Parts: sequence; structure tokens; C-alpha cells
Amino acid sequence: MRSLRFTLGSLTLAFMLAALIILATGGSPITVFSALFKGAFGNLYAFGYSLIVYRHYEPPIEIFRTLNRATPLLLCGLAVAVGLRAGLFNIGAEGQLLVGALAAAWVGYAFKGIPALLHIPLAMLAGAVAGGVWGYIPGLLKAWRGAHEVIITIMMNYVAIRLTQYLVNHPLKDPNTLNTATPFIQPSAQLWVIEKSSVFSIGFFIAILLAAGYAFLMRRMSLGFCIRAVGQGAEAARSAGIPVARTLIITMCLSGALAGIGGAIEILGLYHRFYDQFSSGVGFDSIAVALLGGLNAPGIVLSAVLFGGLNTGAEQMQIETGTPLQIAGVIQAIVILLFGARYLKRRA
Amino acid sequence: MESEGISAIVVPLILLTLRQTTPLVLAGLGGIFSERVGVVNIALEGMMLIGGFVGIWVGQSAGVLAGALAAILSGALTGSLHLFMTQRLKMDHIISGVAINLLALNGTTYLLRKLYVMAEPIRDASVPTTIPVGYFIALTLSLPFLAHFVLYKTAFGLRLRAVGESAESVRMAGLTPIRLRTAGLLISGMLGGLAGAYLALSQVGRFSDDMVSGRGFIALAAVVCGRWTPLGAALAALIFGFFDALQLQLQGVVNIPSQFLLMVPYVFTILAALVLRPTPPAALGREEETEG
Repeated sequence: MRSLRFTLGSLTLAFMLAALIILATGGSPITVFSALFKGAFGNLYAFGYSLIVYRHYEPPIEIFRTLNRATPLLLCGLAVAVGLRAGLFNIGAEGQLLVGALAAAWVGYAFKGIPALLHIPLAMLAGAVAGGVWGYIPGLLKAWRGAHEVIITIMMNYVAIRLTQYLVNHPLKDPNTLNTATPFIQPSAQLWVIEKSSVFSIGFFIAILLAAGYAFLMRRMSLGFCIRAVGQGAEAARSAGIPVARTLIITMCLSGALAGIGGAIEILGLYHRFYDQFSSGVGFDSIAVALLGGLNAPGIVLSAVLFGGLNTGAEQMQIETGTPLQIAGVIQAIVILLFGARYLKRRA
Repeated sequence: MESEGISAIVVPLILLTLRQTTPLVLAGLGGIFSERVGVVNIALEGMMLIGGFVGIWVGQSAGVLAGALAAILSGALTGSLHLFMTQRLKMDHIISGVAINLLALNGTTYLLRKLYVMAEPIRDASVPTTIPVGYFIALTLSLPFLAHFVLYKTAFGLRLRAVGESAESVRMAGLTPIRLRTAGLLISGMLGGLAGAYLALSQVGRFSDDMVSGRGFIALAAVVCGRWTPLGAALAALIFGFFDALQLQLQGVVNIPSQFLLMVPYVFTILAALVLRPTPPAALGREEETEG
């Protein structure tokens, strides 16, 4: 209860500070925020009215856009959270997502004539493995050489950006287009679409399943116990007989794999090909998601939807009110500043 | 003829190397002064962005030198925010750094659009005259030695380094750790802001979206590769600046994909972590009692 009050209070404070910025730069916070909310969740009043009066069930399209946006945030939020549980700061989710997305795109377009039931899992697996390898390297350097995972994951982010940029400009480029993009994936690799005009696919539900898997891992599995023990203190865990180095490496692999699956779903469910720079900033936004969600699965799902809505709504708000959409990022940053302090107190 | 041909390639490459190295050295020294007093600073990127924006904003009305001064002050202010978050609120240094970067990137882009690009009438986020690049290059060539002198040859530097190893021992010696950390963070922020001022007020004369584009993180890489020493970091920054200049020079001339040359600082740092095993200051990022 106290934690819920703190969450709501902090969010309110973040929006109030953003309102001050909007006021100071000559806008009207009420107009801006109502455009933001409408862009994120649609006209809920009209939805409720048609539901009650006409028994006509058709949710606003904005909700699907928000859930699309929430999907990579949710998976990267889980990636950050699993790392933080072990005391590791994975700020390389962006890079892991990129390599996962490109690997999935490649499997998606290069493999032909295999059934969807095989193709989709194969492409997802490719994304998970690529992301996992991208997490393995900092994990190994941490466990083996004591290198700080923050430095290495930052570097790995930029290597991933440049590497995917190279691959999509040269060897994997679709020769039949002017875009810097891979060819489109085969229909057999596309995730099942639920709502057509927003390309809302089952990807969001796969992410929800993985969130449930994360909760199960943390509560019920011995690996989850090892992760938490290492996060509470490597020395104590070591003397209790927990293989600390191995746990650190596995955690980083798992974290990278989750972000890689996030990238795979972006391609298989939404974009259907890998564009250069199709994603930017999810890796850092997901830190806000993990912290706001209190590192637990239901919290991360909720905060991913919230930030997904904030990002989708901000685009609509920019069109309608001429307020730059970066105000959403400012709100996110303030949330991290307010929540980061609390997170450390809990850990201490 | 032959030697003229070579100098026609080499001289511009050297000059471009110096231009590309300058922001890395300034920000890298900023990183050292923060990390040497025990505060992890991944917020260099944000300090540079804020410095660049404030520099242009003030420079437009009050002149470029006032702009540079304002950039330095804004950097110091950002450093103070990081100090407050990590020392007073005991926030994780990485979380605070991530939040400051996010705030700086989104905040400066928001203000740039609201006050310039999307404003009515549209205004230009640029200054009519720039500060000559030479001033900053001179700073780049001298500041690493000055920083080396301060850190290793003065009592003040000894105390700064001591608080980065153990705040407790500094307190035992009758000093106040938080004061030393404040000094380190203020210097760090000022240098970060100065690096931003160079980019905005000297190199290009305008501010654009995300104009620092990862240089703060390359500066951080230089700090790690240079093992947290001013001269080492400056040398690493010079190497990174050289590859950046090479990449710019070779574009369209030789058929090497520029992406691989752009990757050099990052791969170099990962390899350095593997081979050199750089050890950070002992108290870096650790939560300690620094007040009282």
C-alpha cells in the first residue's frame, strides 16, 4: 500500500514538473496532457459509451499502438530487472535488442519453405541467441576479469549499432530497395496479427508469458535463488557455496536473451524487416520501466504499458499541440530520479 | 612533388585529429576528476549536451565568450545534481547518470524545438561568430599536463585521490570527504560543459539534436583505457580521435566501410578490459558515509 502511494505520488510529481516546463515554455499543460492521454489510450469515453449503449465492442486503435510500443519495453525491462536482481547493471539492452532483431530478420527472410510453426520459433531463438551472446561477453568479462559491466555494455551498444548498420548497408541489404533495410521476412515467419491497421500481433502476449516466466524463475527456481543471493552480496553467496561467477554469466546471458527476443518480436510482429535505426533509446527507457515496476513481473508489465502509452501519446500530442514529444522523455528521466533513490534504499 | 602530396594528406589529417580529439580530452579529464574522487560519471554525455545548448542560448545574446562561461557553469550545475543524487540521496551512481543523460537529451531537444525549430517565427540555434578552434586545441594540449600536476604533485590532488580510495581514511586524517567530492564533481562538470561549449560554439557554431552523439561515452572509454590517469586518458583520446579523423578522411576515398573505423574506440575498450585489466579507484561507486 505504501509502495503504491509512493508510485502514484512520484508519477504525479513527475507530471507536475513537466507541467511547469510546459508552462515556462509557453504551452498549456491541460491541453498538452489531454492530447497525450488521448493519443495513448484513445477516446475512452466514446469507447465506454458504444460498449454500454450499443454493446459494440471495439477498443480504440490507440490502445493497440500503445501495447505495440510496450512490448519491447516490457522485454527490455525484464532484461534490466533480471540483471539488477543479481546486482548487475545491464545498460546494454539496446545493443542486445538490435543484434537479436537482425538475427531474427535474417532467419525470417533467408529460410524459405518451412512451416510457420517451425519458422517463428526458429527466428525467435535466433534473436534470443544473438542477444544472449551480446550479454555473455560483458558477463564473462565481469566474472573472469572483473571488468565493470556498465562500461562493457555501453561499448557493446555502440558496437551493435555500427555492426548492424554495416550489415544492413552491405551484406544483408535488400538489393531491390533504396532503404537501408533487409528484405521482408517470409509470411511464415510473421507473428499472427490480431488487429490489422495497427499491426498488433501476438508478440505482446509472448512478452506477457515471458514476464510470467521471469516471476517463476525468481520465486520457484534454484537459479532464481542463486541470482537473488548474488545480488544481496557476492561474498556471502560465495561462502554459502553458490557459484558466483557462473551465476553472473548466466544472468547476463539471460538478460541479453530477453532483450534479443524483444528485438525479434519487433521484426517478426511489427516491422517485418530490419531497418537501420528502427529502434532508438528503448534500452535506456527500459531502465525506467524496471525501476518503476519495482523489479517484479506485474509491476514491469504495468510500467511498460504506461511508458508505451507515454511514447505513443507524445507523438499524437506533438501533432495536435505542437509540443515537442521529448517532454515524454523528460517525464521518464524525472521518474528515474525519483525512483532510483528508493530502489537503493530497498536494496540496502 | 612527392612530399607535397604526402603533406597534403597528412597535415589535414593531423588537424582533423586534433579537432576530433579535443572534446574527448576535455570530457575525459572531466570523467577523471569525478571518478578519482569515487563518483562514477556516465553523465558526461549529458553534461556536454547541456553545456552545448546553454552555450548557444547565452552566446546568442551575450557573445560567445559569455556563452562558453555559461556552458561551464551549467556543467558545474549538472555535476552538482549528480553529486546531490549520489551523495545526499545515496542513489546508485549509474542510475543517477542514466537519468541525467536522459534528462539532458530530451530536455535540450525539447527546448531546441520549442524555442527555435518549432517556434513562431522560427529562430536559428546558432551564433554568428565562433570561438577559434585553436584556443580549445591549445587547452587540449596543455590541460592533461595541468591535471597531472594537480592530481599527483599537489596536496589538493593527493586528497582528491585519497577520497576516491577510501572516504573513511580521509575522515581519519581530519578532512571532510564530501567537500573533496564536491570539488571533484564541480571540476568534472565544468570540463564536461566546456567540452560541450567546444562542440557548439567553436567547432560548428550551432546546436542540433543529440549533437554530442556518444562522444561522452567515448570519453569515458578513454578514461578506462587510460587507467584513470590524465595523460593516459589523453593518449587514448588521441588514438580515438585519430581513427575518427581517419574515418572522416577516408569516406568515399577508400572502400573500407566507415562503420568498422567508428567501432575502434569501443572494441579497443573491450579489449583493454580483457588485456590491461584496468583497476578503478577503490571507492568508485561504493556507498559510503561522506558527510559529517
